[in-house]
Amino acid sequence: MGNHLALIIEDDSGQADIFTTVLHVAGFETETIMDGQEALDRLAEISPDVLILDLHLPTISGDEILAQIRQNERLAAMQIILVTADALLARDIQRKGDIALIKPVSPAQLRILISRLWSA
Amino acid sequence: MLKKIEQVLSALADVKLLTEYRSDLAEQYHTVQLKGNGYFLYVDQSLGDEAIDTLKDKLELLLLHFEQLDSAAEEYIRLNAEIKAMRDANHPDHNLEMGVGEEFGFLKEFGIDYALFQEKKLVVNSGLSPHILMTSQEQSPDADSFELLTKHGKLLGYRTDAFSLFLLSSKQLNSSIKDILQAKLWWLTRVYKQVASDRDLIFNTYLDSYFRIDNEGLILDYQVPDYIELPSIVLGVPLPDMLTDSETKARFAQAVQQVRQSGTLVNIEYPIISQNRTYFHEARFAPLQKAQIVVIIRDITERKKAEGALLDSEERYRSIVEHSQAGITIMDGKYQFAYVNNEFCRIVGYEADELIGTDFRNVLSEESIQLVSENYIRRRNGEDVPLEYEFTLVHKNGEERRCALKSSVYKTSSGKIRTIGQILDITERKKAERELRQHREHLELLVHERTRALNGEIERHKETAVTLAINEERLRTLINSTPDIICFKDGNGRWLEANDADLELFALTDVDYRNKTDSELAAFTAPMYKEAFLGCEISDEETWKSKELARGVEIIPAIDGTEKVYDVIKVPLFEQDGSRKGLVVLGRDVTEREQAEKELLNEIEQHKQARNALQESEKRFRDIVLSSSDWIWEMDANGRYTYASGKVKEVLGYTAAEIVGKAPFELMRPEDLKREGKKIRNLVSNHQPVVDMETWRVTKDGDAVCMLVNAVPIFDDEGDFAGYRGVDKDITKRKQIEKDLKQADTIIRTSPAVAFMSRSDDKKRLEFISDNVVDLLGYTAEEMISAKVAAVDITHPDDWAMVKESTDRCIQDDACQDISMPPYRMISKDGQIKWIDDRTHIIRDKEGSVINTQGVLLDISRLKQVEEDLRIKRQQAETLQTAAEALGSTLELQRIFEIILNELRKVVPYDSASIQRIKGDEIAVVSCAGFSNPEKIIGLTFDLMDDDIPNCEVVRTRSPLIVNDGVPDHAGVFTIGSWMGVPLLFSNEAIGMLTLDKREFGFYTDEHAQLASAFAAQTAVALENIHLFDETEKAREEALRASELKSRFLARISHELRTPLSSIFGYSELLYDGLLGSISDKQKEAIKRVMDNSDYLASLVNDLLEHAQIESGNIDLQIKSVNVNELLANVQSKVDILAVAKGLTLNIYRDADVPADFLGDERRLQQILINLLGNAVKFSNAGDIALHVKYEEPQISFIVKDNGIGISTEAQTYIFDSFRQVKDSTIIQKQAGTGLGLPIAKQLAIAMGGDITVESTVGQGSTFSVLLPITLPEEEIVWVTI
Repeated sequence: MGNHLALIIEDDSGQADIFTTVLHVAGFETETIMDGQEALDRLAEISPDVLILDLHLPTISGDEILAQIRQNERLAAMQIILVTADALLARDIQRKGDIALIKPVSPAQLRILISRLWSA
Repeated sequence: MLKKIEQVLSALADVKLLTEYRSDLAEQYHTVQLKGNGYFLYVDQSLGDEAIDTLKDKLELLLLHFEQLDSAAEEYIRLNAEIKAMRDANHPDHNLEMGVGEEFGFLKEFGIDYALFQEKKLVVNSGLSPHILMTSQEQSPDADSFELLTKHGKLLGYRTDAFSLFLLSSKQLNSSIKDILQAKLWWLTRVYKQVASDRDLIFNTYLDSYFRIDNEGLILDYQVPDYIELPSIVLGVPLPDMLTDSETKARFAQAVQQVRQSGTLVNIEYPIISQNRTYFHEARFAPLQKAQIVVIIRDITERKKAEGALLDSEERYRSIVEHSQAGITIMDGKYQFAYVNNEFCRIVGYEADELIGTDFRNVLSEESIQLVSENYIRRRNGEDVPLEYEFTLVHKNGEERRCALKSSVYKTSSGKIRTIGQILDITERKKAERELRQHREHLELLVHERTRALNGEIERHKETAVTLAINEERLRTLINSTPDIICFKDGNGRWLEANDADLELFALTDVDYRNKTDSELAAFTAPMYKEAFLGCEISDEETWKSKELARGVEIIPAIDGTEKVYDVIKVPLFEQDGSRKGLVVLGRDVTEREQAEKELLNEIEQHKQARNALQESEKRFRDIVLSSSDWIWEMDANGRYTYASGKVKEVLGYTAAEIVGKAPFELMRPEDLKREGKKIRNLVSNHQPVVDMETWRVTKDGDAVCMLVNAVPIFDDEGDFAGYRGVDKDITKRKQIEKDLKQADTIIRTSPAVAFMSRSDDKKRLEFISDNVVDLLGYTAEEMISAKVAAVDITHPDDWAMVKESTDRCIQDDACQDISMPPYRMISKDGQIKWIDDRTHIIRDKEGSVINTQGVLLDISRLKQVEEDLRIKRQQAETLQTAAEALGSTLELQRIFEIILNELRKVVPYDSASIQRIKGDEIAVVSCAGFSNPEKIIGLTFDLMDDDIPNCEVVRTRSPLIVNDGVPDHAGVFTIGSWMGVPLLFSNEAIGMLTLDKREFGFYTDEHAQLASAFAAQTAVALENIHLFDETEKAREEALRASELKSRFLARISHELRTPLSSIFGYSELLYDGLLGSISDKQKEAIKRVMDNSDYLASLVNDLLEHAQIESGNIDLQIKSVNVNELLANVQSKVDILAVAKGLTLNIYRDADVPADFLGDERRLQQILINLLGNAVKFSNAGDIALHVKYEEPQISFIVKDNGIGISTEAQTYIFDSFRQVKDSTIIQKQAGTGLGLPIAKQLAIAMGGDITVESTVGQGSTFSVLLPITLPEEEIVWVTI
């Protein structure tokens, strides 16, 4: 599964490290970007299979990034997992049918989620 | 000159002035010898003493002045001679002229019109030149003197009303002569004036017109009474020109001619037609000196009329007298025949010529001479002598004739006594009577016994009746003194005159028979006379045709069914041209004579019948006397009754005998004595008749009865007052009825309703209306009935059409009986409006025709006023209500100010108004209306401590204040006439005020203040509502802001907490799972501890956040269809993990009637159930956990039951409170939650409209019940924000 790429957009380095570890375990190559604008720029270049997106980002918010991704057909197949510390926001997102994880995120939970998504 | 006066006076009919005494005139006239000049004045006595004295004085004075005038005339002649001499001597002042009165012909030489001069119209109108001027009169020695300036010289004149004297000089007179002449002229003027004025006085006494004309017939001088209007110019005009009628003019001219020729007095009479009436004037022309004539004109219309009437009546009576069946004689004071008629000549067998001038006694028998002489002497001595008696005349042939005499005495116009005698030859009747009497005596003997008792009374009545009749006769005129019937008809058969006997015979007494023919009269009287009348008409016609006296017998039916036999003579009278002038009808009742003859013939056979007839007759008479309701009386000059008819017993209870000798005063009620006594004494002392006098008498029994008294004074033959004769009529019943009527009237009068009745269907014609109409409308009943006041005049113009329409409609509808109409307005005499409730009822006959309308008018003005007041009050209340609604319609402050000022205007008028609000110690204008400069008004503040400002007083007293005598505006100018301030009170505290201004003074009233106060109360509430709303709104906003801040803070805190927690938890789990390399068991255990605590910390943060969210009210419920099975499956899958871990089993029961789907927030419900089941797992160590779902419409219940440690009763009270957790030593730390789970669950349940309850026993377990009311999913999904 070495050719699968997951992009982690997370400004907290500890958290990003934890996501990277879990994804490596799950067999993904990972890239981590800690700034919103950088993330958008990078997404213009690559088409990852999985995107872990923290909604609380400097320069450009996660919402904005999500909106731009949704407009990009190239990225339509990408699995997006949103991460937020705001439980309320997370519920709103879940309500809309998207996947959101509330911090603190359990690595085991994420691993199960990835494996479910991938197998689906 | 004296002769002239004589002549003037001779023209006056009533006065003669002579220089000699004449005994023949003295006998006829009142004679006065005048002082100083030997004149005798003969005046008709009718002039009266006073007038004669005045005349005498005036004549004496006049004669005196005339003497003076004569000497003045002599002076004048002398003066004229002097002037003539001067002229003859060719004196330089040769133009000197002098004239008196008419002698001013010379003025013509100067071109002066004499007549114009007399009229003072001379000045510019003369032929002379405009230079003639009348100078100021003040310059002259006498007010009547004047000067005329002509271009020829100066003209000096003296003028009186009747005469004018001139001194004419074209050149300067020798001044001494001029002075003398002037003085003399002045003197002459005075004399003439005096004479003229005296003459005026004399003529004024007679009220006749007087003209003096000159020899040419021109008027020189005149005097007319005030009422005669003459043309403006009289003097100098020919007298006949004053007349319009050409014939009269000619007669005047003729009379003047005659006087000139004969030198004697000429008298003419002529008619004057003025304003369709004919007047008669008499003109007397008397010659004066110098061919002058004095004409005296007198209105003799009345005299002519009287003469005409006299002539007619004289002719009528002469005809009656001439042809009377009675002998008629007129004797002078010495008993000599002055006149005898044909019948008398027949009785005595002499010709009239043989009798006239001879003594009446020559034809009397010896005994009659004695009787007549005795009577004559007795009458002279003042004794009462009957004027009717029988005596015996001796016929020329010696035969004696028994006669009945009726005589009456009258005075001629000259005061001579004359006696008229009527003599009826009763010789034949007497003879018959005598024979009859013998038989009747026999008859009477038979009935005497039976009728004796009755006779006494009958006789008395008879006597009374006879006396009464006789006395009435005395009062009658000549014509009525005969018992014969006399009637005078005109040429067309119309009745002109009839005497009482005739009228009675035909029952025409009360009928206006004059100018009616027999056939016309037949219609007025009983049918039984019809034949008699028609028969009479036929015999009249025969008489006319025969053209001579006709005599015949006529049978006239009497009222009692018998017949009367009349010997009738008809005398036709013809005009000179032969046309019918009149008919005299004379008739004498010969019934008795005929009857006597008949009775004599049928004596034996008719014996019985005669007796019955007599009885009948007597009975009838008695009935008549007795049935009369009046009692007849006579009293003497001393006022005591001398006679009373028997009827008095019935009326007064006294017998006639008891009454005689009494005076009326003794029968009066004591309370009437003073008043009536005076009245009666007045009447009696003036010998006046008593006419319809109402008076009360006391009967013998003491009852009061009302009498209507009529009486005439009686005079004896000498004309002295002898008492009264009269009739008292009992009108007690009538009085009682009148009194009752009066009472009824009073009842109506005091009733508030006005009753009325109108004739026929014409509502305008009132027949009756009660007197109290004057209280209602100010018009008296008389005014209303007199039709001066029409319905249209007193009905309000706005209501008239309705009233008329309602009335007409009802009248035209035969079935309509009551006119129904709403109350309407009438206008009283003084212009007040009265509201009337008109209840008019229509009375109809069987056919439905209107007989009349009647009803009542009720004044309901007060009621209407109350209604009107109520209406106004209601309107005000409605206005206030509208205002209140408008005020409640908005919570926007500026808008509410506008509404307040607009609505206020509808409640209380104003020119400008403001709303002011209190802020601390000041009051400020916050809004205004009607000001030209609102920007300057709004924001004005007043110091509430300043007592001089009325605003402050309003706030301090918390009461309205009216200033109606002007207040200064904000600029200090008194432009405001009336001001009113009304406080805005809320909870009895002033929060501000309303002010109202009006330009006019004295405008605002207490009622305005009340209304404004009521309005202000609404306003204050509205303003306070806005205030409160503002405050609440602010607080809410603040709270919301605070809550949002809290939420944001919590969100931020939770985010900040979670981020590090996330690293802690993530790394711990990576370590624990061995993903970061293998670790020892001991390390693994330690990491597990880190993991649990960070997990607890994370859930704590979650709960805190959720709790904060609920607290801030931001719970969004997503209501949609919930499938119960799915819900339960989800819950089981989640709880099973926990339960299995503790070796517990979750059993879920679902009742059959639980609906498959319902509306709700599935996630929140799941959260609640997982929380409760989680707790149950947490606090149970063994046994099963049960979830039981029940449904009882509309509530679904989820019951969670465990067999855990249970909850103490005390703890049950706070387990749902935030941040409280059951403190129990048995709860191990690991199991402890955040303490927010249950409160959140309960708050969510409440947010969903339900609740969570708990039942628990320590050590046995707990039961939590989630109770939710649900709706079923047909209904649409709604989002609810709490």
